Amino acid sequence: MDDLFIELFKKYHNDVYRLAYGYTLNFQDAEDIMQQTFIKLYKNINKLKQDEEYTKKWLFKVASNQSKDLLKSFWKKKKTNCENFDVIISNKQNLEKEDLIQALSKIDKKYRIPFYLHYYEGYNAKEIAKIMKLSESAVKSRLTRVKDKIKKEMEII
Amino acid sequence: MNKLNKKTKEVFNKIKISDSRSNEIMTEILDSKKKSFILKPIIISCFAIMICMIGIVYAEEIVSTFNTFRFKMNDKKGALDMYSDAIAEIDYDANIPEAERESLDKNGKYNNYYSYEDLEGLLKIKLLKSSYFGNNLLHQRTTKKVNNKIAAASFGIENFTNSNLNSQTNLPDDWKIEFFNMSFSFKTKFATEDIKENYSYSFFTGGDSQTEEYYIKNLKTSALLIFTNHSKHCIVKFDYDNISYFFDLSFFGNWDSDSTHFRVEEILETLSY
Repeated sequence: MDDLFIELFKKYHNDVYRLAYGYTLNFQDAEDIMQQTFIKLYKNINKLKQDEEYTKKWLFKVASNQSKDLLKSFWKKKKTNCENFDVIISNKQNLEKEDLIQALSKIDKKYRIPFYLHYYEGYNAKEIAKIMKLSESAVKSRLTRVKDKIKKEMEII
Repeated sequence: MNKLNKKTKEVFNKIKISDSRSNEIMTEILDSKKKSFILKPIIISCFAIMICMIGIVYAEEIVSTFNTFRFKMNDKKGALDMYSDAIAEIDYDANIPEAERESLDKNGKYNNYYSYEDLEGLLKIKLLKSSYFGNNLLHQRTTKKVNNKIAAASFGIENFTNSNLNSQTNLPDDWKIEFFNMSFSFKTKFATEDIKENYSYSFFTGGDSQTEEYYIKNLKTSALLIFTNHSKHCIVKFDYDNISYFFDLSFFGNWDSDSTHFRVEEILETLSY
């Protein structure tokens, strides 16, 4: 069981981390979510299908739920209100200087996640809809809008 | 589109945790499972010990919770409502005739008298005995049948101590006589709603009565004790193995309140199969 977990962790931990970052735009929160997601995987590893693609989608679903819970939490809302966004991202200044990240940080998370899942992970609208528990049409409309928004933001930057 | 795809891949590829940190996280997760392997048995053991301790400390309360005999003091009416949920398993076809009262047979002897052994053999149940009843016989008080199956029955046994004193005209100063009357009754699965042999009635406690709950250590069950007539008369009720027992104990002569209480408890502790 441990060998399978180690294999899955090594393969997918950065993907989960990126998705969590997409939600939170905070490296520390993304790391916590990634850790929580893999703890869940470790506990449920025997119940999951022996199918890597299925496991990856399962990990994204769990991370997505964990991220939403974190963003909804009282503590997180307080923290976001109190802290300056620039301070949160200051540790990874080089990365934050990337125009794409800057553009993404300026648009709502409801657009950022479909963007990441589609343009980075290569999932289609139907698959994203399952992960995010949305309708396929909602995902399609968000993907169209996010492309325009990103282009617009990057032009400004 | 391709440009955006390429750019996205380039940028997001940079978002990653360092190898050392990811190894740390992985090790933490793997260790957490090992810790829970150690902690689980410890927590389960602690919980089991706690349950055992509660069981020992509150044994009497737990036993009385499972007792089928219940009672409730009704302050407004000055009454004590008692009832029992017990359903006895017996030989429902036992050859015990229905009898509403004891009567003399043609030889001038009472009908429906049984020894403990005979009755236990007939009903296929165990009954509580006490040395205070000597070899006296149990007499049948009531039997009710439904569709020819025993639905309820009641039997009694009684004894006097120092009965020889009754006939004496010059009693000694410290004379004492005790009268013991025990009856047991039961209801079976054939009992219909109108059969209340397993008592369900109110007892009017009266002016000088004193009601107590006593835990019979020998039987590990709770009994209700009602002392009246300045503690010279005591009624005891309890259930044991789905049989309802009733004691009527009277004390005559030089008994004081403390000694009758002690005597009742002593008698109850002699009960066994």
